[in-house]
Amino acid sequence: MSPMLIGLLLDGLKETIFMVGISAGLAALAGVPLGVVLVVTGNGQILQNKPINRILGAVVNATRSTPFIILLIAIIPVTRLIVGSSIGTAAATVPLTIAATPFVARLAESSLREVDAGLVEAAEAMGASPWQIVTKVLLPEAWPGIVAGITITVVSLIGYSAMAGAVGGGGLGDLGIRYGYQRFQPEVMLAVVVVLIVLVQAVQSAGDLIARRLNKKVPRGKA
Amino acid sequence: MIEIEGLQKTFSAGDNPTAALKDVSLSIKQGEIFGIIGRSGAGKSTLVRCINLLERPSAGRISVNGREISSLSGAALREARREIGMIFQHFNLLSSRTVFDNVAFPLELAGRSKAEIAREVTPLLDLVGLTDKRDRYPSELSGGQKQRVGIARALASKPAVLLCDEATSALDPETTKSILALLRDINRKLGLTIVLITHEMPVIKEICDRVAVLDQGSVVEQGTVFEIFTAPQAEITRRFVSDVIDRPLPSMLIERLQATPLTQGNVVLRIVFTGPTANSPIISEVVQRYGVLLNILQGNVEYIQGAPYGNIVVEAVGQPQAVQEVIDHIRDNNLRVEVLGHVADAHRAVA
Repeated sequence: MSPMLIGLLLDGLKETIFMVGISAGLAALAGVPLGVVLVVTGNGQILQNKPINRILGAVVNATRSTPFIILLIAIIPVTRLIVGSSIGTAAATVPLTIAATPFVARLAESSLREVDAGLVEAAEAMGASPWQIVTKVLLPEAWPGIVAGITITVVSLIGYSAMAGAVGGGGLGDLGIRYGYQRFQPEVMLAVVVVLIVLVQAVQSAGDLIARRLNKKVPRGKA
Repeated sequence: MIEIEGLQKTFSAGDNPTAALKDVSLSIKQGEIFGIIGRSGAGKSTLVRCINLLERPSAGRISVNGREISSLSGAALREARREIGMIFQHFNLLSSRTVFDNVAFPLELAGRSKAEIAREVTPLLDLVGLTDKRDRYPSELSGGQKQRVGIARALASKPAVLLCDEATSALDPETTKSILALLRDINRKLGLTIVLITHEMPVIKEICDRVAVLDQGSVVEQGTVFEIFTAPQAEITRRFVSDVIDRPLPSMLIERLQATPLTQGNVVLRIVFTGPTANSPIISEVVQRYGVLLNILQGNVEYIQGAPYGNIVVEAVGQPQAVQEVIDHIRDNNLRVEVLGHVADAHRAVA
């Protein structure tokens, strides 16, 4: 493998990690609270609110059903407004974040729903406020599931970032397409795929490890 | 301590509302252990959950420790709930917190400082015997230990009342006993009023002072545990009580038992001793005075709230006239006696 190719791979890897890191971080920051709101405003929940629940649910579903490649182009004006440009690695993080947020929200929602209703009831019986129930009961109990959800999101984002690369975002996917497909260098594409496999594997293992550490439902030593 | 007046709760599931509680009124005294027993679906869980407003009554008034609860909401309700501890059938411990942090939870909710929390939690862990498990997670504990954590947690905010929602129903009999003993101990040491709901009569017998029997959303009977056990009035109460103290007659006896008197036969009697008379030697007295032999077929003496309750089945061997005198004599001494039937004399050698 030529030193030039190694340099290209390293640059691509850096760009991919940058795009995915920023957008996953922002998606987690926005998606987890969104998931909380989706849960607590649901029917029979501590802050039941049908209109809010319906509207948020619809927005989440609409975003999730838009194909990423269309979303990427459709929100170019928004991207330009936020980053000042619609081309480049930083610009790619905007659509990636917007696509990943509802994804995180739904995954967080399903983990939060799995928290035993008895725990919420016990906290209510002890005089907990809705905010205390969210921060001291729901989130701590759902953390292992939420972390697993964020891991899934990161892995999906690595896939999406290849498409973002196609609009000038750079990254490994872009490298693979430009060299492997457009310049007929299949070995570059192969190298890109290998690097991606290793990256995804590393992310998944790290996510699993953190989720397992956080999960106290399984006795120590059996985890 | 707890006054419940005309409590009603109706659940509206679709178009047909179901009445879970129909006009329940109870008065629970300071420092007593009050049991509420009923079959599943009787409304007992709804009743206990109305006391801390986890369930909002459809009508009626509830006051706890002189404070009207049923009209509260928001911060005032949260404040009032801190005076009412609760333990649950499935413990409801936070899996992500250690034993110490679970017990500290209500104090944390009340905004107490770390130092204060440490000072309060340590003696509670000691009280429930879990000092050595303070850094363990609930998943590492047995059912009985989890309920002990639940009890310590419920006591942390120094409540005046402890509600127990089927607190021993998920535990084996031995663990149940130790948890009940702990509750009794806490009741005596702290003067805590305990309201306990259960479907298990042995639980009532073991620790309650007074009991209300709930059936289809209504209180059908209430009284001291001794009264309920020794003189149950409602049919449902009788069935609950008989599960615990009336042993069924041995099948050998049932086979021999006949409804009508036999020429060469003996009468089978059930004699029930309650209260102070249980200690007087009435059996030997009638044997001596009337010359009737009493052959004991079955018998047991239970102690309910420290008072004896005896229940024996005898075959009375003697002249019909004398046997009737024996029955009258026992009745005159305020004991219950019941003719179960007649059996042919298996041993009579002489007429």
